[in-house]
Amino acid sequence: MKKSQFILTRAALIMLMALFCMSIYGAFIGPYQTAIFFNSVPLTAYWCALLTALLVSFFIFRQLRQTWALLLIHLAWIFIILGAMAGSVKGHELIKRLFGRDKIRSGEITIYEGQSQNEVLIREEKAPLQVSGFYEKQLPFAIKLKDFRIESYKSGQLFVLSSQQQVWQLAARPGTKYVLDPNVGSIKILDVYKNFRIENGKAFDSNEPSSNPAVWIQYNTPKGSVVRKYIFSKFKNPVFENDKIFVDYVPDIKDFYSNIEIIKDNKAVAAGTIEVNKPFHFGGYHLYQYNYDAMEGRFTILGVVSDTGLNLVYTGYALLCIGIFWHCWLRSLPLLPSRFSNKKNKRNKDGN
Amino acid sequence: MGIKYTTQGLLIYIAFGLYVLAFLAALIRLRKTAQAIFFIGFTAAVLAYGCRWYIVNHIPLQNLFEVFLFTGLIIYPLSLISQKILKTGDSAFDMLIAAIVLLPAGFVFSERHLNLPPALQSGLFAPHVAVYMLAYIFMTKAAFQAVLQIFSSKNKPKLNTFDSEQATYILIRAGFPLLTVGLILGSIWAKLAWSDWWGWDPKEMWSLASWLVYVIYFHFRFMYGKKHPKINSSIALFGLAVIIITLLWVNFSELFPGLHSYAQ
Repeated sequence: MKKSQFILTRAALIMLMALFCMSIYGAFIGPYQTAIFFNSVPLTAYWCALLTALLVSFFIFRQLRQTWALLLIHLAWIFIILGAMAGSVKGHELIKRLFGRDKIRSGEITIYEGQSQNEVLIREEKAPLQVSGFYEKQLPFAIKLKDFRIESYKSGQLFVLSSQQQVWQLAARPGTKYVLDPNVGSIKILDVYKNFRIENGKAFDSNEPSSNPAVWIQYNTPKGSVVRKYIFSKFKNPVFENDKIFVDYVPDIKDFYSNIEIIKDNKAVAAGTIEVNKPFHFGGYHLYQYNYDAMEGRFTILGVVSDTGLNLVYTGYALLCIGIFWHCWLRSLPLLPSRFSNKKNKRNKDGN
Repeated sequence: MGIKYTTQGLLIYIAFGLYVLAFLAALIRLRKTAQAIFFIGFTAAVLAYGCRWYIVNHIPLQNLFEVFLFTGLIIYPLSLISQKILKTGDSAFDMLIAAIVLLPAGFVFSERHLNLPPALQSGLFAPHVAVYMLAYIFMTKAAFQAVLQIFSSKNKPKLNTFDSEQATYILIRAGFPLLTVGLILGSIWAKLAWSDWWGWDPKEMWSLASWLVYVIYFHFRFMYGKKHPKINSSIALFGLAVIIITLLWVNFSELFPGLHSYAQ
């Protein structure tokens, strides 16, 4: 190995070890502080140094230029780092200064059913340990919430609180019996309802579009008496007075959906449904299903995130995968013994 | 912690017992018997996993109980790949790992199941977790070879197998692409579900750290080759330590609150 190659590989090792240590540090300080730390000025210098080292390596190592797999792996990191830089807050500021393109990096938008909104609430990025503030900015288009709906599983979670402040979280599945404590008693789940209705004294699950989740339980007290009650998720539920336990029921949410329309120049230009794992893309932004009105389901909270730099990152991912599989599996492992074995053994002796 | 008095629990205990038995048979050099018992243990693990799949009605990789159960069944096929294709030595240690990973599934983690939350209802959920577990098994096997290299003064490979240093290297080469795919799938999924392809979550940071250990390994080995075999092996061993932290400590410690807490 030439001296210049040795120096660069050693520098790469030091930078990788530094990134390892910083990753561990980041794991301890929490996501918000880590994001600020990795976007700080000293770390920007680190990323620039890493980029430079990657670029210089193509000139110093002939092997990197001649071995496609290694070339792709190292090129991938240039794409990923450039994509991350372009997509960061500072990257957005730089693009605005250089090209006059003013884009919101990320924020939240709250929209009530039937209304449209283009004001995005943005969290200010402050130095570690400083209190963050919020400010508003307008999108170049408005989002109208046509309809919001929540889909629940049939079953949910039963929360039991005793007078001694003991808490139990129980999966509400019909036929399941839970022994809580010898001094508290036991609970058996008799039935669960997505939309509870009662007619002629008989409870049933209604197919109507409304929702009234409930669970029917049997409580066996420590003294031997048996109490059967319906527990509703939408109403305050009774305390079992003699034994002083409080029971609450929360149905498990399966998914939540926002049917939206994009309004530009007073015209609807696009429409779609946003749900968790299925964002909507329009005008350089991805719209995400973040949160909702848990009490009445009247409004939705959408995340608005700029797509700047994302294509670079995904290109980097594709190159990284191709390069690593090519290098680690196809070139070096004894998967194709007859054709590659001699070449492989020679290479392995060199430690590559 | 407790005994599981269910069909899947019983199958887990049968698989665990057979894996231990296979390991003991391998120790007293009853190779063929050990392999046969290992295979029967694998069958029991497949049945336990199938039983779990039937109960939860989706691919069971939601929590640590299901992940360890899955790991307990993939070790046998990976052991065969290591023996027949990679030529990295015999399978006695694989039998031991299989028993060790089924231990927490059988006695420590609860088999209680919860409905899948919205974020986990993604086509990327199963491949993201599965490739990580495949990678972790390869890295565990690599760490075992590294231990052999560190503690044996003269390491003579058996016929048609590599020496421990070389076997460590081959196993890391086998596992590293899977580790990379796990990281990338997680990132793409995070972009779809949580809006950012990198969220600086503690689990993400530890996953990156474990990936970096192996990148350091490759660069160090590229630089020095086999001149410092003990350092090569130590890095491989350190990689496993970081993987264990990523898989377990991050999920259980209150030090690392994050988006991956549902995996407990």
